[in-house]
Amino acid sequence: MSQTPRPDQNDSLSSRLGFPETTLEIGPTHPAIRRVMTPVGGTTSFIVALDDDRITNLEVDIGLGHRGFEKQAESGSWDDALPYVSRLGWVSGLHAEIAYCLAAESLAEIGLPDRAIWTRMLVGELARVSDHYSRLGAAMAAIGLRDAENVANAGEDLASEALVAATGGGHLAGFSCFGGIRRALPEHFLEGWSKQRSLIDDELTRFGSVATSNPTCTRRLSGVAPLVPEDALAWSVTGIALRASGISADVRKDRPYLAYGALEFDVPVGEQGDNLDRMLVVIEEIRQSLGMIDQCHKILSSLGSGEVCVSGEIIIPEGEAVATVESSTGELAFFVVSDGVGLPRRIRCRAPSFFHAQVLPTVMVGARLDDLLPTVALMHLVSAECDR
Amino acid sequence: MSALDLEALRATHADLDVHVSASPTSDPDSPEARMRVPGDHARTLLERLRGEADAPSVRLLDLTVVDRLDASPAGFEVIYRLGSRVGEFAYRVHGFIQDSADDNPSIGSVSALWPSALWLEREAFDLFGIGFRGHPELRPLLLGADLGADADLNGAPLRKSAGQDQLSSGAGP
Repeated sequence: MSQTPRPDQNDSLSSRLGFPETTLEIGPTHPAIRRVMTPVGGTTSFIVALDDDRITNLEVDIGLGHRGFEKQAESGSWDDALPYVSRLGWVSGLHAEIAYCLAAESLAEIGLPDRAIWTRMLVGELARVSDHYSRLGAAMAAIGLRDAENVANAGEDLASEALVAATGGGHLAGFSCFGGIRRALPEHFLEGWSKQRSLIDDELTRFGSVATSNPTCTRRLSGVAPLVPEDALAWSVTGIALRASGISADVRKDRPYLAYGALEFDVPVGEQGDNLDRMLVVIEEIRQSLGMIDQCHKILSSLGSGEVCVSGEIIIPEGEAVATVESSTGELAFFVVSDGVGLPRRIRCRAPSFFHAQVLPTVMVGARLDDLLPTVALMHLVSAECDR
Repeated sequence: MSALDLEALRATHADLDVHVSASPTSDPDSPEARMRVPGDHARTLLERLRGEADAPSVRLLDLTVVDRLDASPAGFEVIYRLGSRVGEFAYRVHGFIQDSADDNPSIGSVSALWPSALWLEREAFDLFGIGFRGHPELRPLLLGADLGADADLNGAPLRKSAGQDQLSSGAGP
């Protein structure tokens, strides 16, 4: 019996079996089924070329969820666009609302009442806590850690409850308006915050014990999909992914809007820029946001009741303005151009997820297929926001 | 305005016919220079602003287009928003493409300077019908073939001439 030659150790199993490369299309899925089946991805689809389970090429196909966001926003009056803006993405609507209002207010040169400034920051941070928990939950689901996913989802639910109590409408609150906010925070939110806060904080401690200190979790995330700082800057990556790569860039610290300059908080940064660093940055940011909410809560309690929105008609004059906020996904900006005629000439939204989708092939080629979805979750790729 | 000297910017780029001003709504702590430049010189200006090839000092934050076909002079503004690493200063470069009779507006691609421009330029091509000369793969990014080929939208739905009524009554969210 002749002995078959030993296969070259460098050859992959698939090439030895005679099918050298497989192409797989992952997604798109309906965003609403995320809790049932797939935690991430949504309307984005990933066309993956594989050699064994190694990704040799990745094409990110976006646009299925494109709904003419900017065109729609430009086809009505300035404030007609507001409800639409808050639907930019299901997680960053409140931040988009704040950015759009800041851009219009800067054109109209409106000063905001103090209560509106501190309330906007408070609900913005609350939305961040909720969204960050949802990212953790999605990442844990993607690596199959159900207990950690449940803890993160519990944290998200608690933060969303607080958000609903504060705004009356959660992420799609229609909370900000030109010149301030629609209503002051209700008493029951302000009174119940410290209790709710400790519950949210407890979930963070619990998450530490089931995820951060769990070797199964850290092994799956460590060293996966690293993004070097040079690439992060070249590909205009912002937010968690940029900070995890070691660059301390946060709009709230670098170009403070609202009253972020008066808040005390740290900007956590990573070292390796891998998925583990991204997760650790997310966890620390939840902690920092809770601290910020406490500070806003204290100031708001001392301000008492009073005006939350400037009164009178707001006219948007001719001009251009940019307003950038640090949303839970990254740098979210509105660039607006007005002719002073009532209808906007241009409303441009810089959606951070767009850039995170674009950089994915850079970090994923060479990685394993089952690391794709955890990376999508931890890079903060939100399809609705990306496609606009 | 320590990080940004408008006079120096004017002097350095005088050969490119650049008009430099301070953005009226920019924050004094992170000043922004607004630079208006003819479309043909935009890429050269951006290459200079980007800094050293191996250690770029500014990043491309966003790229978009404003339709000014109904204004005088008529044309498109291609707007590049650049920022320093952590936002001490910013540039906003407005490259102006004069409306041409052949309705084939184009500007030099900056995708070789910043890879993030690859998709941004494809999006502008898709939604405004602006060509980017030198882009390695200029094809639609967001629109499906059916909408992109719609005659009423002229393949450029974000232009002001593309049917506003049609969009607000038909393809809603």
